Amino acid sequence: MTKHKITAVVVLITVLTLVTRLVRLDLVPPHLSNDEISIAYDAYSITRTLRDEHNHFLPLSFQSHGTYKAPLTIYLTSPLVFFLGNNDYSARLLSAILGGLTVMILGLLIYELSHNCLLALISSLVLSIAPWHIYSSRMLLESNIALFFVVLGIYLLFYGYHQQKNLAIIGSYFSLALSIYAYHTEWGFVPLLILVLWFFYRHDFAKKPISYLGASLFLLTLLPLLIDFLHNLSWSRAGTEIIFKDPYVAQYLANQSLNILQKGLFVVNFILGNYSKYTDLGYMFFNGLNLLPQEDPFQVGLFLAPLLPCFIIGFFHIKKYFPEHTKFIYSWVIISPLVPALTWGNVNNVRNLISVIPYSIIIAVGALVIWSFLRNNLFLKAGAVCLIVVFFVYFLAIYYYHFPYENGVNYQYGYKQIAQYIKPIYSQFDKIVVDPRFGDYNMYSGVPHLYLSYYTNLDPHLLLKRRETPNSLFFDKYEMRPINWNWEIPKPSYLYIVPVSNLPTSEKLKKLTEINLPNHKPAFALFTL
Amino acid sequence: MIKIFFCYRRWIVGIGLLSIFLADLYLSKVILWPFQFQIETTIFANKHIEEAILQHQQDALYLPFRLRPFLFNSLIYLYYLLTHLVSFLSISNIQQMVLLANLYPLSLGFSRLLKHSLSEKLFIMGSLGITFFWIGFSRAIPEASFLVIVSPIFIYLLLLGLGRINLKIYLTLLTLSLLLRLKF
Repeated sequence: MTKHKITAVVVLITVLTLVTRLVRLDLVPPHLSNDEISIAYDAYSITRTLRDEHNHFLPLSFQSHGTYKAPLTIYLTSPLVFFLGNNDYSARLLSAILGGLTVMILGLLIYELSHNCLLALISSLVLSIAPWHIYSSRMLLESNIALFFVVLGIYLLFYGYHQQKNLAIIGSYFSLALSIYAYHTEWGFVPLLILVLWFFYRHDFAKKPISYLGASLFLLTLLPLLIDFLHNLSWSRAGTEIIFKDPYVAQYLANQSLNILQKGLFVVNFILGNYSKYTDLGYMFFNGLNLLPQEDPFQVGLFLAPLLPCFIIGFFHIKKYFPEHTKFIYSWVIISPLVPALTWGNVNNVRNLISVIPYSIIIAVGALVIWSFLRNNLFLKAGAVCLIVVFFVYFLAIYYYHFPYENGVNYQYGYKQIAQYIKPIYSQFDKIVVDPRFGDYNMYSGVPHLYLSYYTNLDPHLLLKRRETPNSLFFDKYEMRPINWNWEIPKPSYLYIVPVSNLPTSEKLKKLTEINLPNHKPAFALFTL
Repeated sequence: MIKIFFCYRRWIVGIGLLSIFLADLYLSKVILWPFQFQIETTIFANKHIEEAILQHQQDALYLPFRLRPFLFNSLIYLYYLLTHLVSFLSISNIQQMVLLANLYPLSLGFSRLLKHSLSEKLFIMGSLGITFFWIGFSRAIPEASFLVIVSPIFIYLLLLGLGRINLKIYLTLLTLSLLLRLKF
């Protein structure tokens, strides 16, 4: 490839990456999700009070709503929230930027491993247009931040050894350690990855004393996290998500009549079942992204469907393009879904995000094999490119329009709009009573206290002084509690915020406004006397 | 003997594939004897698909009404068929069908097949392709098709691959796979 062609493709990939990750960042997904608002609010609270929502001073594990989030994403989001204010862009920008950088670094990594410029460019392009990565980069997801540090760490490691740069080797171990501070999947994945790397490159690593220094730095960096983990073992995230917490598994393991072999085989079978779900080609290429309701046939896969043949062909051609790294690449492919398979619950794209990189590499290899096979058959080449473009455009239509249109409820849509409505009239009320339930038949319970506090720029000190009962939360003017209209006695200068499935029975209350979902169905209503 | 069979001219392969196509139709009960098409056994009986096409055409306000059928149309059946088919080939199903350990000789057998004559490759891959197509096309997995058509091909590929395996690795994997199949 000539220099001009390379530059043109790099510019194309950069533009594509930036456009898909930054355009309408505040509107798609339609609303900050449960986890996103928790991270954004904690970031905001840290900038003002150095404490999280639950009054823990600079924690290493953020309690959130019982999900105990890893700390790095929150600390990295804090400056953005501080400088850009409390909005969707400041919350999601970090993930979008690091997601974009991951695309670029993957290209550098592939070039470092294969010295094949075309393969490096195709790898970046595959990741750039991967629905899975676009989706993850547009949300404030800890796993996407961790993914960036993993890819950076692996790139720096190979770059450091190939170019004899000790600083890069040190940087790689530091980056890998940071990834563990960013997301819980990496707690299992990164040590496994380092073991694999040390096993396959033991001769190269052993020759350089800097390898030992890097590994020591890695362990040293993790020491505070390890101490914190041991200190809070009973409630840490690792303790809540592990497969043994699955009610079905727990019940089986508690059965006294079964021996240890039976129990062991049962657990292995369960893990294999999970692993199978995470590596299901239908899930990967046709319906894994869950942008639409489950029964909708217009689902989109984690990668574009026409890339499936590339994946299959690429899987058998790794050796051709990575002769010195074949075993490492295959091991990377195999171990990536292993940690998500050890957790319980449904298949989770966020936990499994780490697999997006080895899969992209395989697809890129397959694409290059097919491209080389087609040689001068321009008609077939154009046909293949057109097919991919058509599927990508179709994905964009589904993602940018149909997905936010149909998924408002899943993102607790409405609380931001409520916050924007009450912010200018906040002083007119003595109390604001919010019923935290939402959805059809009040089936969900949300976290309105975080949305309302974040979007109205409420002083975080006020939320720290909160009072809690099992079903209620009281802070500042706010009362978050389920409202039963049979018992509720409306008072003047009280504002009631309720889901439309729990409208007041009394006609005395006057409706101020109604908040609709993106599909125009009503979601919440605001009432006062 | 198999080798001799594959040495015949390619039109025999064509007839063979046509027979498999017809056999699949009857085995998967898409057609009942003599020629009774059973649409309810196929993905076309899924009412959600038609409803979803109409729903998305109504929702897609970003497109002029006349253009919407270009994006949301009956081609989705093909997509649905492929989804159905590809999901069938999961690790869990493979473990159920041939045991995970046999993936090792099966893939070796497959790679050996690629070096065989074009007629042989065409017949094996064509048979698998046609059968998998009907698996994707049927609402429920047609086990009879799998048993009658896919199993002999898998056995052939297994036999091809068994000559090149590392016996220690294979026996370890086989023991593990059999243990995993045990039901308590």
